[in-house]
Amino acid sequence: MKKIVVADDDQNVRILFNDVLSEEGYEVTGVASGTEAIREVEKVTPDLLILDIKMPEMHGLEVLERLRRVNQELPVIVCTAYKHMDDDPMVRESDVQAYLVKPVDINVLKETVKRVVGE
Amino acid sequence: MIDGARILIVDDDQGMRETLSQILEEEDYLVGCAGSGKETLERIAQDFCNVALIDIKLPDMSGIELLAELKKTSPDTAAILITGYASIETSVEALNLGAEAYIIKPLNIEEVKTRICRALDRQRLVMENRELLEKLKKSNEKLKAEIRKKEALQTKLIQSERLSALGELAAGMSHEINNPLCAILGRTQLLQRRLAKTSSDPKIKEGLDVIEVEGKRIDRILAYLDLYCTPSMVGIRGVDVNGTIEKALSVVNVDSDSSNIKIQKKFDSALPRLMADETGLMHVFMNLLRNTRDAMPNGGTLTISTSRQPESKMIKVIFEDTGEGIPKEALKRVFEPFFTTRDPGKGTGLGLAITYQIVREHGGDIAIESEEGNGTTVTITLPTGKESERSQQKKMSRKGGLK
Repeated sequence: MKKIVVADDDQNVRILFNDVLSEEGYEVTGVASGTEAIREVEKVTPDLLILDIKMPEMHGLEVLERLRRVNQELPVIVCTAYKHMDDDPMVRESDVQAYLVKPVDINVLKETVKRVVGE
Repeated sequence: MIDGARILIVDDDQGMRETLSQILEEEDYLVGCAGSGKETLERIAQDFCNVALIDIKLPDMSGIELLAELKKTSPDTAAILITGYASIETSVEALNLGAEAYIIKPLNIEEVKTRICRALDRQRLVMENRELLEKLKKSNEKLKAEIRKKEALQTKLIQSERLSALGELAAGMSHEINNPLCAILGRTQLLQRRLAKTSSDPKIKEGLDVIEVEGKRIDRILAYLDLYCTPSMVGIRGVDVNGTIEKALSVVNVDSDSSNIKIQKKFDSALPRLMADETGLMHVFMNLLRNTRDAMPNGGTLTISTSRQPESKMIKVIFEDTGEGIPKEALKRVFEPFFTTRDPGKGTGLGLAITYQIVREHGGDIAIESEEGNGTTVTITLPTGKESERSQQKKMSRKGGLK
């Protein structure tokens, strides 16, 4: 079973993603901060990280930078409430597999995850 | 002493005139003579004289009368009165009328010379004073104008600071709303799916559909809001402003048959290309066209003109309509985000705020003049030259990472 870590400080977003993706047969763990995300990724070595940008303690892009130092292989989907995220040069240059903009259509979520990690 | 000062000797006694003349010419004065009051006034009307030496007894008028006339026609001329009879009354009267000095015959030449010297000194001081005062007045005026300009700038600055603070607030708000909205819309979608499998209660379905539609509406408003907060200046290239207005006109249907609106185009065909983001400019023109159309529900005329301002390297675009106009109170706030005079749900109140933002990002300016019932004129100025490139570079470099 493929493992996904969802890092988002909004509990209801985590629950939603969990519901949608569990139904598709993924094993989902939710974390509420960047620090927890790094710890969780080390612990469970997931197949995908879905990463929010604005989180307490650590910015999503910082989480990404730290992760990339030790792990270049992990697929990452950035999911943010900033509408023009893909315009941002820092995001454009960072090494991620996809961007999702909130509110995310659950079909788009499913398809994107499927494209990035496979069934 | 004033170089080549002019002295006029006024005396009906020719001998006296000649004697004084000779003495004063030796002092390098330009000396003239007059034998009567009338002649004196005529001469002074033609040529200014610095000092007039006036005998108190003249054939056509008294020296005092001449003095009074002289002060009216040539107030700067210093008058020294000369008399044979010492009388306190006349001397007081003469001084009150503005005489420089009062000398009693027989004349002491040294006294005359000293009086003339002093009169000239005083005159020079008065004139210098006047010049300084004039200068002071001028620089005062300049200063006042500067202050007025500064005040206007400050008002503008406050307005733009306020707008940018509101913009930041809006961006933050948009972000904060998107998170719960994500949960709401996602959950709704899940419930709709579940409902389709398990039940067919039409009321529940209807309710969920409304939640979805309204949630998506919030999403659209937020997307618009974000456009305001981060106007894109990505596609900078040479833009034909007349062509862009035409494109906007083809999108916004202003002069449909039912609208009764006539459009007059006064385009400058030799308009230089503008370094700009065409999508942004399209947004500006479309927004103005929509506003214009809404301002003329019973029809009217929209005049769109474009022109070059070669001296300032600016392009000027003017939208002038004969519509309802904007009330004075509303006019102050039209560029504020969320300010709208339309019915709730009809306008976002972001159109002009975004328009303002886009024009400013291009280094330009926008001004709206309007009077209730008397139409509205919107004037946009956009820089064509280096100015616009610089402002765009600034914008591009400002656009760094996310906070």
